[in-house]
Amino acid sequence: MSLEQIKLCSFILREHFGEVAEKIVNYLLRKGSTSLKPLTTECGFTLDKVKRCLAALIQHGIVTFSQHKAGFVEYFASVDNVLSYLFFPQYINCAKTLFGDESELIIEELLHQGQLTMSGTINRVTQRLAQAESSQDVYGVRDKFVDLIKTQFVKQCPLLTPDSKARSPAFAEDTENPEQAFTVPQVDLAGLVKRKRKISDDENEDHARKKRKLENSAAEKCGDEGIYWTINHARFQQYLRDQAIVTAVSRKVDVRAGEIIACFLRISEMKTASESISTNAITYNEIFQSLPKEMGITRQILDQYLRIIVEDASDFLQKTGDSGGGMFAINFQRAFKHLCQAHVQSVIGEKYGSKCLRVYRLLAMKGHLEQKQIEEMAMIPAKEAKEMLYSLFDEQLVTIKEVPKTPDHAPSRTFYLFGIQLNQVARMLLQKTTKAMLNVCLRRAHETQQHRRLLEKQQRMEAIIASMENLEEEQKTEIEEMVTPAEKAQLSKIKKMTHKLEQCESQLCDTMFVMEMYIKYAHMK
Amino acid sequence: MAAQEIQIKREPMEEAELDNRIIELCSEIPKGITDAVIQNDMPQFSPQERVMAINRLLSTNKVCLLKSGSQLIYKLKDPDVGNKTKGGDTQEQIMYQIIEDAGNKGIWIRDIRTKSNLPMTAVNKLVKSLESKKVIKAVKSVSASKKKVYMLASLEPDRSVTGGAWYSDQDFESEFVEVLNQQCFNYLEQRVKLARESNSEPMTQRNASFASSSDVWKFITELGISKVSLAVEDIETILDTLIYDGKVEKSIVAGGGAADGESQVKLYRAITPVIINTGLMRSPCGVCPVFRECHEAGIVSPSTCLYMKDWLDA
Amino acid sequence: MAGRGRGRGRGLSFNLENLGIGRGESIAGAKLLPPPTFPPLDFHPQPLIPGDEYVVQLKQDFRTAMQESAFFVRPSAKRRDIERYSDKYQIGQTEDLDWDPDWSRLPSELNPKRRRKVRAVVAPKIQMKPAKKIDVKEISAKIKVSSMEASRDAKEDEENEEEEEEKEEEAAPEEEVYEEEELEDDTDYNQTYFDNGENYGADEDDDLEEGPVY
Repeated sequence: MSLEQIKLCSFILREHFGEVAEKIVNYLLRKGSTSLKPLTTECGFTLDKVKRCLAALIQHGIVTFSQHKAGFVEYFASVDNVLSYLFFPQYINCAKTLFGDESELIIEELLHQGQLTMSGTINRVTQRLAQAESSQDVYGVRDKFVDLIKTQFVKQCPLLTPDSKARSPAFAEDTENPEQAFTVPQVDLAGLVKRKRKISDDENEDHARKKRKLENSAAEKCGDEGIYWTINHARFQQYLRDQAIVTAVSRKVDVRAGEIIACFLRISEMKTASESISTNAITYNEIFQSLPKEMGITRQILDQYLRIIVEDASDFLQKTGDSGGGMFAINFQRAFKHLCQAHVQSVIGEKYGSKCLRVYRLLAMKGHLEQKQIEEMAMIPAKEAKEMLYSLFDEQLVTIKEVPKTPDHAPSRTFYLFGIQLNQVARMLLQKTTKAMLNVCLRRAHETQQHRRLLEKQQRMEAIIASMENLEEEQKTEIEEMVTPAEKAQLSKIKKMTHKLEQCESQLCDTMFVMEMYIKYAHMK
Repeated sequence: MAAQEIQIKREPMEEAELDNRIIELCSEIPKGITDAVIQNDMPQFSPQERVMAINRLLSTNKVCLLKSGSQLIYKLKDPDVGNKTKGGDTQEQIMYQIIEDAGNKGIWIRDIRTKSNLPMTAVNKLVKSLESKKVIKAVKSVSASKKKVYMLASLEPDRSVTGGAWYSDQDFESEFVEVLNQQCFNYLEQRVKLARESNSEPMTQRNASFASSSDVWKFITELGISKVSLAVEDIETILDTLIYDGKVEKSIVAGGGAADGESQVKLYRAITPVIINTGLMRSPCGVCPVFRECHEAGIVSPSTCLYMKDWLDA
Repeated sequence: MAGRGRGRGRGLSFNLENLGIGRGESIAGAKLLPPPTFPPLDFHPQPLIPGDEYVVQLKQDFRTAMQESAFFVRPSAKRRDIERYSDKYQIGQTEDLDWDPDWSRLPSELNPKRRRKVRAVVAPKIQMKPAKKIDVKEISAKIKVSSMEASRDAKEDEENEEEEEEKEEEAAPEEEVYEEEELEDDTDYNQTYFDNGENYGADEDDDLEEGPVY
């Protein structure tokens, strides 16, 4: 838990849950854990606010609680769960790509609410679809939800234990019954369907009332009360992981090779424990049989592709045996080592130039080298090489190992060997990317703050227009003209800037993701 | 007595014959001859006569005397040498010989001193004098930038001294290397493009994208961008830098049959990196030189950052 | 004067080559100016890769949705005196009390309803509450009228707020078990967020009253 991570956490919380949540979590992180009382006294908010905020944070999995021996309830906060908010847009997009619009809305709702019952989710999603005039009905959404459970993108929240006390509810351990998390509950949706029809009949009823009523009925009639669902973070991470590998193979070999790997990962998913270092071995025949026919890949071509990917220096696929036409496996540790190296190398090439990159890669390939050897092999003049090695050392991208020839460690009789510790480099870059992310976020907040009045003016104007039904074109223009052309230009500039900053945030996520994955797998045995 | 008379009579003629024969022998064996060789060739002459003949030849600068191990060796002297060192004294000649022996690898001035047993000041003076007569030249060695080595002016310095094709004087021709690096890559990249366009099976495509080091060498030679002649090994050194650059991959395969003398063929091919670049480097923070100093509310801060401003305005 | 002769002679007392500075290489000269705060860049950032516009859109939508949700808790009172007008605007759209968590999954101490019940017995102060309850109804009726007027006058949208008021009013009879507490919640809610200025004093009172309790 670095300082940058905590600061970034604060920012994310401020943006998604407000200032109160930011202060509370900061305090919790600083103290490790605490009871309710100090949170109110230390953070300076009313007890009501703190309670409400804690409840919201608990529902979103950011704060957890347990009963202390002394009887009071203590609260904890998790940095990682806050940082995962950075990936939520990608999760939502992933659901859309894999399962379509309904699933996108399901995931979005689950993320908004933190946790929901299945019927509750279906209800919300159906309403949103109705607003968008989509034809999908309650049962269609249910099927999508079931798909998400079966593919484990959505999981059940732990149930309350029978002896749970109201003072501090206790939950069943995840590990006790792993299948439980992905068991589809019996849900009676008849009530929802009726409700929906009634509403479409009764157009006059205002929206808020509708919603309210719907929710009540949902809770009453569907029979899945108390069974809450939330997104399965690990599963989404796994999907992003696989995507990273597929994209890399598509670039390195070609698109069809990427598709083969994607297919490979799909098969292996079901056979591999989610937290293992490498996929189970899969035979050539299995791969061939599960390739989509429209790809038009013959056995011979598949054989060639597999050979090419295995022989490639990128280390994404390994041949592990000969049975079944050849056995193959993907070792995530090795794959992410390669990807991590690629990202590190991009940093060096883009910041220090191609010659520095040459020096770095040379070290990565050959292990430890003396400056003189580096000069010769990389064909770089001594003076330049010295400067490059210094800046790489200064940025903690290379390390120096002293090997004295004599016991006195005299510099003139010592070999200085340069080398690379990828693990350290990855951590450093993760740190750096976290700070960069924070910086970009802060700049975006700064720009918004700078133009707050103008943005509010625009909001007001839009609200007025939206509120006036049967507005005549003339009147509308009149209202729109409240914002002067100069202000309009300014507004579009702000919009452009915000978009650029957010795009950058989203792309910084990629670097963070690869570094995190590498570090995670590097530690596995 | 008669023999003696004959000997005396023959003397002037025989002296000349001996001298010529020694010179002949020396030119037949350029490595130099020992006294034993002369004795074998002309047993009729006494050791004394041989010594006198050698001395005559040495004094007229026709041959020179060298020491090889415990043996003395006679060697023919360059006909010009006589002129070159004319006016010079014996010390200069010794100097010349030491430098000449060093061949095109040259010799360091301190080594001249130990070999000649002359004081350093004298050595310095003599070397200067020979250098000014353009008999010898000083060449800076690439292996130690402050070391000068001396060799005969007529010689082309050895690669170990000049560093090969990549050095002019002792300066490393960085730009030349980079130009070659780029050209080799262009060639390999073109190969990949052609292979892709062939639309053949993946394996055929991949194999077609490989080029051997001699293919690349041929291409570079035909381009005519190099003033010096490059060997295939030179090109391989350049190709290695491309591997370190991460742009090229090497694959070593067994030679292509009996016709190919080489047992191994080095194949190279241009590769696409697995990522375009990393997200961090698309943000201003990635290239920021004051990143470490950057803190909210500091002089360098995200809100006041000029790089960020330029980037946003772009 | 004499002192000058002592100490080191010319140059430096150590061998420069040990520092990696070769003979003949110049040592960097003295710096006479501080470096610029933002030195010119050797390398510029790489262009962003297009194609993730949808993800960016999702990111913005998600954030907006969170900010408008019941989970976004704004600190009360403090800032209102300074930025009253815009605050009213922002808050009008947020903190919709729709969210009714499953209290069985949360520590009971977080449940405001429970607290009130306990307090009502323990702290006599709370007994003032019923009086306020009546207040609230009057006030919310007033607000309803005044906000409707406002919308007519300034052509501004107050519909959301109306809706919510109606909703709150409806909510009470629906959940009879917690009627009292619900209304107390409404008290806080209305006084905090439906401040048209008329009940300004009442709000302050509330703060003063609750202050010492915590």
